[in-house]
Amino acid sequence: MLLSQEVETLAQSALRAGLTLNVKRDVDTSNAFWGALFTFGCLPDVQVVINGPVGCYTLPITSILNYTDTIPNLPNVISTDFTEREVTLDGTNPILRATLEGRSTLNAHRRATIVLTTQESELISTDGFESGLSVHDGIAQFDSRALQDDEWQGRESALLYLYENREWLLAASGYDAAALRSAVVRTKPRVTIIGPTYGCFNSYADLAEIERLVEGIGAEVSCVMPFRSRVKDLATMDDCDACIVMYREFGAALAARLHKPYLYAPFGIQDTTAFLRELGRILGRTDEAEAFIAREKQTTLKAFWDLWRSPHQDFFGTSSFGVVAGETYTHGLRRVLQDEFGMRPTIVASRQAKSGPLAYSAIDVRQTLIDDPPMIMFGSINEKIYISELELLTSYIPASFPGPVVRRATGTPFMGYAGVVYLAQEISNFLFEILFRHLPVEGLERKQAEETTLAISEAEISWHPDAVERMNVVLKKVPFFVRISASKKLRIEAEREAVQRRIREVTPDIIDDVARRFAR
Amino acid sequence: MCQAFGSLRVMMRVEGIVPILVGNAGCVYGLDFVSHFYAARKSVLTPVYTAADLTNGRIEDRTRAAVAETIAQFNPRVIALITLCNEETVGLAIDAIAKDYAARAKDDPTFPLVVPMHVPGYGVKSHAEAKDIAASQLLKCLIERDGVPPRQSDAASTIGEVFPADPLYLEQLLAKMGIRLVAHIPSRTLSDFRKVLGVSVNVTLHPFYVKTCALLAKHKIPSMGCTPVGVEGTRTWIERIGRAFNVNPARIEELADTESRAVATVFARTPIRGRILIAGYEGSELMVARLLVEAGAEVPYVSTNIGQTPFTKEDEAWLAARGTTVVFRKTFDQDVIAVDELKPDLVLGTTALAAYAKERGIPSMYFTNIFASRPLFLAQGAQTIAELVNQAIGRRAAYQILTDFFAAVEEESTPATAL
Repeated sequence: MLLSQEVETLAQSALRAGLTLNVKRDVDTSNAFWGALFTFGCLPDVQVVINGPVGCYTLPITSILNYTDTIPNLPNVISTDFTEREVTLDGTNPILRATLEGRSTLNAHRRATIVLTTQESELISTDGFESGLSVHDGIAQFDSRALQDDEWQGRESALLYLYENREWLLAASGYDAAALRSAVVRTKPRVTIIGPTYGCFNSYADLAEIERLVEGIGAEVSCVMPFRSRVKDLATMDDCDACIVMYREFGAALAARLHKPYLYAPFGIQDTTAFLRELGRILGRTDEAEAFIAREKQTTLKAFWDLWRSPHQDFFGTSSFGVVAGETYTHGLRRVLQDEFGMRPTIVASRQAKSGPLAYSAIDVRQTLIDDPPMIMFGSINEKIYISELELLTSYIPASFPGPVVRRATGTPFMGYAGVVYLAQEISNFLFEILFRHLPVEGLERKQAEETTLAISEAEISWHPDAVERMNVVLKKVPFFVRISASKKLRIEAEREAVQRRIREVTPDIIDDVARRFAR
Repeated sequence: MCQAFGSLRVMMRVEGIVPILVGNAGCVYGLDFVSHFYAARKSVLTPVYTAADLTNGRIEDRTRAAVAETIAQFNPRVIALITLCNEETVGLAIDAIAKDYAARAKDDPTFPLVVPMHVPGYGVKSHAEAKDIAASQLLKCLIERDGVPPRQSDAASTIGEVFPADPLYLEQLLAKMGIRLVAHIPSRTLSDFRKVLGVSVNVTLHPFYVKTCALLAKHKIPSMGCTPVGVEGTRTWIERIGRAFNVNPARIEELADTESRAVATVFARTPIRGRILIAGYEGSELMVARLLVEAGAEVPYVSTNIGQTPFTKEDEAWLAARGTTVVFRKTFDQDVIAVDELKPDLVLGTTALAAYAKERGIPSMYFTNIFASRPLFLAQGAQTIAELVNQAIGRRAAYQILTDFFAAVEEESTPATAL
């Protein structure tokens, strides 16, 4: 069969099976085992045991955690490291039993133990958890559904699991739950924040900002689950007046389970103001909320008001952006950049959207980058790779994992009032950078012009009408405020290229070649 | 690091190769993540399939569809078809897929070469060995398709992921003996892999390329396993390769003298004082240890993830004779005990071990990033390593200050009401 026929047949059968694509480019979402691991792992006094081959430990724990959270090692996570013998002969129960027996010597403080299934243990274990140990020994297995679910579903299930199993986790860790509950001293309204786990982009800074807002209206953050939490916090996490769910991807199910009113963390001036008023109403701190908003206008947000009135705000309206990220960041960035800053979106894509305007594939993203490249692209390393592959002028700002990026400073939030200021500052500085790249360098153009003159000899270079047309198309993709200098540079370069090719006319393909070179 | 990363990394780097990783989203996400950090700005493709496809056998159809679509979209010269734990467990027949395409390529040479690689994390013992699998599989498939090029009597090749300039120094050195270093793999180009098949002697600079060297041996290309590291290593290396190419003994002696003396001069000028532990992944720790010992350091412990190979024997014996304990297939616990007991001045370790040492105020660096692919050979290498190590040992005060500062922070708090 000819290759084209074969592809056609396969495409047809895939369509019948409900699949539109047979191959995915650059997987951007991990599985539920990772999500559960990055949730349970946040509690330093829970012993997490990965039931998997050594790669299921080394890849998330000793590699990726370095790049997402700048953490070299999680001492509360161990692994069975099973090998071929377990896969083909023994099953994983004997090695799991041996690992569990060894764990007590590692750290006497960690008594509650959660065994996590991995994609491989789920595939080979038909017999389930039969190591002869049970909740009474402080050990339980968490079925992470690694084969079916994604990392966000995994985080959701793990959070629900922690809450629903809090009594044995507390008992196994040696806590008197009733004593912990009665020890709570209430001085202010209490808020539980649900969401920040390892592998959540920029969560350290966003959490700090949300906490600042809560404290600003006279309430206190009594629990952050699972960040900052220990087993003892499970006893009192539901002793609160409201919850804030940081991410739309996960966490709302736990908030609903706590039977407390909850709000999502806000982006932008409008939504943050509405959020503060609503939280104030729920907590009986209406006046404090209004006072805080008034104070913020004079302090945090003053920077944005100043920037808004300054000339470089004008650049915002002539600039475009793209965003490919998780649901929360995609919606949030669109809200701030499009609705409030007045920037034009070229692509707005959410990883979680399965259908509708925000659904996308890597192929769509690449195509949009070619057709209408934004000036600034917020995304993961995947988008960064497409930008470099396509040799675009687009600037890249990290807004999502995957991708190695240090985001441990608490002063770089995207959420809340401080997020508005930080984003306005980042974008302004990127615009300045783009402008800088287009300014002439003393002597350089003269040098290039000299080279051109020498090479041209007597000949005059003319422009094919299609080339002029092509130059206009190319220039439309250059940021508006640098188009003048870009057009000058493009003209000089195109003529030099024609000379080097020993032709007397600038043709459209020369324009394309030169434009590509510009992008580097 | 998941072992499969070794294969993916080597394949990502080669121009014209499109990698297809057949695996669960968790595995592919993680492996893409590290390869986009370390290997190349290049897309990794993966078949679209569900958990049910794994168990009902449709995974093979899905993989075939993905390969066909990849060819239609990208028309690559080579596809590296890599399977991980899940797919190995259910017995996905990637060799059959590769064979089908090889058969078709006989009629229509525009079909790409499909190179199957089995690297389940539970089966392959280290990520270094997965690199070996990748290199040997690619060479094997190239031989099956194109045959072996004619032998060049004056040509040599090198294997190993070393500092890019190191093969250039070796090339210049070998040229002085009339030997041409024609290829170094793993490299950026497929033609380097082809050229290796036409040399008279191959030099393996890293000790884990056992399968690759066995494949070359099958085609009558011997592999030499020592490296020009340190005074003695440099001399031995020049002597051996010179003899292998029947170079005039006087010429060999002259060069061996000059080069090893240059290394000795570096050590005399930049001696290393201190006790150093080395713990890494790929076996190159042994040659770094030899270099440090010759420079005056005390290296009581070296550990690595690979097992013993024919190419580790000499370094192991050399180190053992000088009181160094060499541990193959080590565990993290063994490394930790060594740090606790031996009280080193510097630890060149894995990420977790380096963190452990830093917590204790001991200067430490991640071996893989800082040492594994730095200049190491001849006098240049000696100079680089000696300076790097001396600077690191000299930073002890900075490490100690931070350890003291953070000492009050309790890593673990015991429950107040613990039973």
